[in-house]
Order: sequence, then structure tokens, then C-alpha cells
Amino acid sequence: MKGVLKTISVFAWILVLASMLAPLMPLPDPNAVELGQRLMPPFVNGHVLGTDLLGRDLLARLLSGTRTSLLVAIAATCVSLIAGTCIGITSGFYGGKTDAVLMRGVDLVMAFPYLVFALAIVAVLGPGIGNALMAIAVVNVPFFARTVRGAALELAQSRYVEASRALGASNARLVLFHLLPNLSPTLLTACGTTFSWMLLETAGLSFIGLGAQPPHADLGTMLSDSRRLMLVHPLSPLIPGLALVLLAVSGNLLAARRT
Amino acid sequence: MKLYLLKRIVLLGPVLAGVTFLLFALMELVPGDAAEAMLGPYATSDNVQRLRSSMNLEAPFPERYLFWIQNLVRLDLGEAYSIGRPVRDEVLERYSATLILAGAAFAVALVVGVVCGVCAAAWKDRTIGRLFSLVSILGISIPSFWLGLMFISLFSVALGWFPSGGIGAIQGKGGAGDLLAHLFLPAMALGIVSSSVIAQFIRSAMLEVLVSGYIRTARAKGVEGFQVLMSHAFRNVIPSILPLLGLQAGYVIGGAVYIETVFQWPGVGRMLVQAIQSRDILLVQGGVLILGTSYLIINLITDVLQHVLDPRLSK
Repeated sequence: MKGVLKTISVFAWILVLASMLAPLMPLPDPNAVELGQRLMPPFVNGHVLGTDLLGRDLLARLLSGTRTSLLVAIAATCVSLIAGTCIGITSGFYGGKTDAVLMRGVDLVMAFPYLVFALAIVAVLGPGIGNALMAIAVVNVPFFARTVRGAALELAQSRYVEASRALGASNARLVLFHLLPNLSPTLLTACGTTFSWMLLETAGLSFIGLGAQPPHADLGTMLSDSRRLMLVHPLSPLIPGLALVLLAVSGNLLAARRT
Repeated sequence: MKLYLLKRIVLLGPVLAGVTFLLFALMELVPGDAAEAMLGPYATSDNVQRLRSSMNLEAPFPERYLFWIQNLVRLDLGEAYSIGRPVRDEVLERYSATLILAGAAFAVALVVGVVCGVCAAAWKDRTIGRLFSLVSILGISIPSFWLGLMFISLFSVALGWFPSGGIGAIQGKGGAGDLLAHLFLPAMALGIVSSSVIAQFIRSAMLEVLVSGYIRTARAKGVEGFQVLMSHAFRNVIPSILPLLGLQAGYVIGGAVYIETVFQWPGVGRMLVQAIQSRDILLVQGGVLILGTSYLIINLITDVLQHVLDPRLSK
């Protein structure tokens, strides 16, 4: 069992490294259309994975798509982490009315099924990969805010915070030098669990046409492109999907190891 | 108990007010002019002005919100300009399709989740139990839309067992059999993915209960293994999984958006995607509103059910 998981992680790291180094590799332009080379099978004319409906090299597209998906997921996690941590710390540290108001706001966002709320945000901002990123990040803010608030509430009551307050430390100092460092394990675990989710959801928004716009691709748009070929090439969604699953599995494994 | 139920229903009021306000305010942020967007190439300044005043767009924000709420209470959500029919009719028509899909997927998730979770807890030291941790991590990492595509590849294209999309055969006789055949793949794709979270939760809740004293007593009295598992252990796990089921219902409702796109299921989710692409804000509002309200009601039901099953919570 451990062996299987290890193999998956190794493959995922290879994929991540390859996608990051793709611009340096001797690969064709992932968006270069070459209609004479449409639907080439693998290993023909130097196309390792073959070509798609418009003759674009599938390996180059896979690597650049993986890179886009990864970067979008990481960025969404960061946005949501920062916003959620600010709300959570303010809420947990100050308590009282501030806490009540902020948490009712969080409850309000959580009253929607999260993907449906993300769609409402995309409706406002318009389709596009940056907007999909923001939408997915916003619907995840409540998750971070609640987790951080719980931990901050506990830490704010602790002896060492009380001691440094007695020594005359300002609120800013207490938050920056006492709360934040002690919150970091909680934050890391939360990031790990949300990263995979962000990866799948941003790919999902691209898949339904609300994320990355042509000619740029992430793994979601690649899957949606492959749908058109399914009657002739039933296995065309296999590779982009496997890449997505590989990355998500290793993200979840990292998170599971931390807990 | 009755008091709790009353309290929950009364509390639903402010939540609904908040949700509708948030939705209305969000749609206000849409860039551009609604009247201009609706008129398209006919958007001369005269026409825009006329449409704006007829749509009550000139009024201040609070007034428009109240106006919108008044119409909402009368179930009048306006006219969807991209399809040229009332939003209410379109949304309600598609809502039944979404309910069928989400309901079936939820049933699949529940059955698969309970069976796998209980088995993984019962045989935690056997191969099945250990295999479970691997499969469950895979389960939460597989996107439902990809699973749907692979199902189509395998069961529709290669094997030809099930139709690849739609809610009924175009030239078919209709009926329950036809619906079930079309429902099977989408419900499976959506249900299996959300079952892994349920299974994981049930497994850990079961493992906690299985070491408690009354289980040992039951076993010592000679109660059979299966009976101990189901009527002693699992029965006590049920109240604690209810809130998770509420959350998973939200996941299924959201995931239906993807699955409806993959299988061309004529539900609210697919309508939402099309409405966003044609920037039909009223239709988006209607779709989000009905899915959001369903989610609120489902969570109300699971909450109340939890209190019915575990009266200690009400005290």
C-alpha cells in the first residue's frame, strides 16, 4: 500500500517538475495550430503524446496546462489563506461584536452550496481564469476564517499572550509575533487540504467554459476539448484527467501526512 | 423539540433575508448596464432610457431591493432575455431534472458510503480495511466530471450499455425505464465521488464507537457480529453523520453543475452555465436562488432530524 502511494507521489513530482521546466524544454508551442498534423497518434512526427483536433502538440499542452492549473490552484489557496486568516484572527482575537459581525458574514457565504456561490461570482466578474481563481478563493475564505478563528480564540486566552500584554505589547505585536507563528501548523494543514480541492474546482470551472479561455489551456479546458473527440477516440480524456488526479492525490497525501 | 423546530424555522427568516440581499447586491456589481445588454444592437440612448425606467433601474438601491423582494414573494423573477420566457417557468422546469439527478446521486453516495465505511471499520486490520485508505484518498481526488467522461468512454462508447447523455431518448417511448437508463451513469459519477467523504467519516465514527463498553458487553452476551455492527454501533453513529450529509448535499448540488454539462442533463446547473455565458443576470439569480434555498432547507431538515434522533442535543 505504502509503495503505491509512494509511486503516485514520485510521478506527481515528475509531472510538477516537468511542467515548471517546460518552457526550457525543446517542445513545440502549446498553442501553435497546425491543421496538417491533426489527430496524430502518439510517437508520430515527434509528437510524443500525439496531437489534438487543431494539430497542437498534446505533450506541450499537457505540461503548460498542468502549469496553469497548478499556479492557479496555488494562487487561489494563497488568496483564500490571507483573507481567511485576517478575518479569523480579527474575529478570534477581538471577540465580541467584531466577532459576531464577521462570523455572521461568514455564515451567509456558507449558506450557499459553495460551487453555486462561485458560479454567482463568475457571473459578476465574467468568465476567465483569473476570475475563476477569485471565485474559488472567495468561497473558500469561510473555511479558513472558521479554522483560524477557533485556533486564535484559544491562543488569545493563553498565558504567554496575557504575559506579553501585561508587559505592554501592542495588539499588532501580539498578533504578528505571538498568534501568527503559533497558528502556522493549523494554517499549513488547512492549505494542504484545500489545495487539491482548489485544483479540481478551478479545473472544473474551466471544463464548463468559465475558466481559462482559448487559446490558453489548463487541464480543465483540455478535458473539455477532448469531449468532442470521444466518439472516435474514447480514451482522449484519459491523460489530462490522470494528470489532474495525480496532482490532487499527492496534494491530499501531503495533507494527510500532516494530520 | 417543538420549541427547537420553531426556533429553527424562525431563524430561517434572517438567513433568507441575508441570502437574498447578498445575491441581489452581488448582481448589482455586474459591470455594464443591464438595459444596454438586453437591447444589444438596438441600444440607442432613447431605447436604453425607456427600458431602464420600465425596469425600475433608476430607483435607488434599497428601493430596488424591496421591489425585487416583493416580486420574489409573488414568485415573479422577471423575464430571462436570453431565452425569452419567464425565469420562474424555466427554473422550475429544470429544477425537477436537477432534483432527480441530485437525489439519485445522493442515494448512491449514501449507500456506497455507508457500506464502504462500515466494512472498512469492521475489517480494519484485513486487506479490505487497508485498501480503503488508498481508495478513499483516490475518491476525494477524482473530479466527478472526469469520472463522468470515463464512464461515457467505457459504458456508452465502448460497451454501448447506457446512453451517453440527455434525460430521455428522443424517439423513445419515455417512461421510468428510459429515465433510469439515462440517469444511471450521471448519478453514479456524481454519487461515487461524494461517497468517499461519507465513507471516511463513517469509518472513523464507527472505530470510535466500536471500542466502547456497551459493544464489548453486547459481544460478551453473545450477540452476533453483524448485529453488533449494525444495530449497536452504526445506529449510534447515525446522528453524528447527519450534519455531514447536509454538507454533502451541497456538494452534490454543486457537482450537478459539472455532471449536467458532461451528460447534457437539462437541469438548473447547465442552465446556470449557459446563463452566465450569455450574461443573463436574471436567470443566474433565479438559478442560484433555487439551489441556495434547497440547500438551506436540506440543512434545516438534517438539523431537525439530528435533534429528533438524539434528544440530548435539545437539552
